[in-house]
Amino acid sequence: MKNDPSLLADGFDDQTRGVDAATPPEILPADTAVFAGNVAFRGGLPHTRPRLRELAQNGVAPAIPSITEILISSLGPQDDDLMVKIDGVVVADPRYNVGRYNGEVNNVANPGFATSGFRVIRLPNPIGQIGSLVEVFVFDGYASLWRSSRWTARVTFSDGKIFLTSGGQTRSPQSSVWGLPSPIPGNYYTTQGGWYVQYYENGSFTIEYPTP
Amino acid sequence: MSAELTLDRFRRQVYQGVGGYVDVAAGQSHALVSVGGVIFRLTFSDTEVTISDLNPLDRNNATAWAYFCQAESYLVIQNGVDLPFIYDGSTLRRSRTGANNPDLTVAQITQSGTTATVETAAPHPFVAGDYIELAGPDMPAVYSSQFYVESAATPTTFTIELESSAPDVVTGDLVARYCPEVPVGTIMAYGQGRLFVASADFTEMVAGDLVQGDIRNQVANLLRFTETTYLSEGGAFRLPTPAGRITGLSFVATQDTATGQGDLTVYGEHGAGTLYVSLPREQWKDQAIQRVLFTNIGCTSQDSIVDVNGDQFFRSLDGERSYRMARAEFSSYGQTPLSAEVSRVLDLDNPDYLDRASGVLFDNRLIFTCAPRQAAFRNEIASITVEGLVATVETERPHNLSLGEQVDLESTAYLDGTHNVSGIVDEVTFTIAILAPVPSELDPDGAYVKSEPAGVEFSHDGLIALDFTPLASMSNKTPAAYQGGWYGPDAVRQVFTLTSGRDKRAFFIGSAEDGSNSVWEITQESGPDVRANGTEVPVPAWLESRAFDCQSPTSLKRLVRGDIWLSDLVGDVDFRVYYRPDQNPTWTLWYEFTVTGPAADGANTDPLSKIPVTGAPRYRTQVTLPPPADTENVADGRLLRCGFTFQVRLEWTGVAKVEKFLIYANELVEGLQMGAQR
Repeated sequence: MKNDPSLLADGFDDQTRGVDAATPPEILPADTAVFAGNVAFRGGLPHTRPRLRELAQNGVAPAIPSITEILISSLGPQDDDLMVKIDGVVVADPRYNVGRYNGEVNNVANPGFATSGFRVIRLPNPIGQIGSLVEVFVFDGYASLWRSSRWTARVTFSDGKIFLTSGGQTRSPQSSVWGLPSPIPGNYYTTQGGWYVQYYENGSFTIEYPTP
Repeated sequence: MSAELTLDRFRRQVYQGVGGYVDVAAGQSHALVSVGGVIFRLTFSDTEVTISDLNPLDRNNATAWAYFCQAESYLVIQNGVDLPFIYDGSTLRRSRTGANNPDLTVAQITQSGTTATVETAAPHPFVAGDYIELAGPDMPAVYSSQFYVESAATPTTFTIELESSAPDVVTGDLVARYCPEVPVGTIMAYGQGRLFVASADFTEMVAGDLVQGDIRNQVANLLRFTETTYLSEGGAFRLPTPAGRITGLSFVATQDTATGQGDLTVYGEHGAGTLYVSLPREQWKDQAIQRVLFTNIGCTSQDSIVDVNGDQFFRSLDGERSYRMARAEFSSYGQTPLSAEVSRVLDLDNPDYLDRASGVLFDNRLIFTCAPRQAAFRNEIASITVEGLVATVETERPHNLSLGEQVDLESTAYLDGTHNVSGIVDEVTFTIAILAPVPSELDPDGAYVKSEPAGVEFSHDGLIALDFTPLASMSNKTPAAYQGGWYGPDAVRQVFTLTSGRDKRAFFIGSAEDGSNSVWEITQESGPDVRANGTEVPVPAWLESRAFDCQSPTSLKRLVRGDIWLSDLVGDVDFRVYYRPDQNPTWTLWYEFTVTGPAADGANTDPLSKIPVTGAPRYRTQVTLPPPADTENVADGRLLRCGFTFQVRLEWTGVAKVEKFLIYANELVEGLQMGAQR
């Protein structure tokens, strides 16, 4: 088509140089627009900018850090070993292995009842969570006296945080309570441990999540 | 806590910043976002983002802005208030510094061979592999050092290895603690093997230990800040006073160097300096490692600093600037930003809000935020219950109030005004004492807590895109081209990119109309915007042309026709064409039309084309615009369609490409009576 020669024409095709609102529109080069909104000029021709896509949000319930280890250690002599319950469930009890450091790293033989060294219980990936009640007992088996001492506890969480606490009380040797049932079952000594078995409460703590 | 609560927290609380985490070995990445003191992990699929709460038991300040920096495999999160979070790709932990690293009293140290057993008076937190230091007035020199914990068999003992002989037993005033890690700070940068942290007040900056400076600690060594404290080469750096507070830290990429990184650039509000930190630290005190870079060019925000090849773009008070251009201009008199082309938008930016500016390089475009705005934090009230003279107020978001603090309530019908907080029930519930009985159940609709501490939310109305593609052609290099403003259905809080293997994706955290946080991807696709629920949102586009003078700028003309050529049309596209003569400030509607029809005019048979065979975009050649209406121009008494130049504004809603646009005009003969021609 040929236009009427009396008509003046002007316009644009190539807009490679995008926008320039700083230069007066009367003197802008032919390949430049004054301004644009939601337009891209890549390739030279103005076109709708690329798509924006909103992403659907999926929530995940927060993962509360789990407990990777509980380490409890007596600070002084005690007779005999530590026994621990978490939320009422016995998780460490040396009654079937009287005479050994039950749960201790090396599980070495217990040289005697009136131990003056550490008693240590290490519980990897134990049951329990934040808010759980950890009860500490002294297990006494096959002896006429028992004693307790203060202990310390370290609870390690899966995110590396560590909860530290201590408890218990120091008690000098005291008379044991005879726990031998009567009549004694036939399999008593093979299934129930020593001659007599007793537990003495020695404090507790609630697992807390440490915040600085 | 449920998944719904996680989402609710993410959407409704105050946005505080985002940082990307790249797992280079796995070729994966995700983002961490701080919202209302909660650190969320955002994992992206093609159309969804999975949001998980990483610190459900240990929140940060609910309103402070958060800063992120990935250093090797660690992402450090700061807010200038709380102890930094350190993220290792799966879990968060607090930096062992300050309140998180108290001195532990050591009861005694016993030595056996090369092993020393340290007994603490109270339970210690150390585990095997921790790096600790022993100190105290009575600590012998052999122990006054830093050690690895070899074992920690009990909560009150641990062992260390000695390199030289030591006393058998040591007692006295002794302490043990972790070697200090990342201190509380704000802006960070990682480069030349060290993490650099600006102080909470943005006035100074410290450097961490060298990565892999310790053979045993390897990469984790970069988290330590022992050299700052213990070496004479330590200490903090400050910018010259005229440069103002620190606003950005970054390394400019440098070719042909071992690390690919140059000096550390420390940007201030009104200036910048460099630190020659590749020099061994022992020499920092003897060498002039600090140099002035700019004296009157500053950067407004860390997140606005974007590496583009060997250059670095950043937002300054007067617009977008580049490191190289600013350096080149240093020796001349004039210093102008690189964004004059879009000054129409950027000149309106409120400088008070530019500290939240952000930018990314994506698809060979620099995309940065513009038109920031802030709004008072409005915490809507979910319920008000009154019992006697005590009102219990439950808010939609955490209230951050404390006992005895004054709180202003608004639009509550009966309880508007200032009250004292008489009790804190939980993070979203508090009580106030009231003076007179009111109804026991108040309608909370529209009510909100007016006095929120630091209660400000921000967003940006849009983005500015600078396309570097014109530079890419081998045969015809032209300058980078500004594309104008890009505006989406939601406002923009912050833009960021994530790189996963070969893929790079750009996102922004959006602010929906109701103020909630949304997540958007900036795609490379053509098409309407898409809401999360799949709803398509047609894109409103517009372009203002230069002023057309028909090669005769001094002759009066009458606009009689226009032609427009269109292609790449998708779906129905509405067009409106406006014009204005000369310097007329008002656009006048010329013509509007809609391109409708089948999805495709024909099948695409080009086997090499990426355009789908069906549903291919349509085109329209030479859509003719009729003569504009004869409306009088009150400014000069002529018709509006008469003038010396004509500008055209094209508006369209949808996806389209403008191939060509032409106007036609008749030249008018002017008589002696100027202005008589119509």
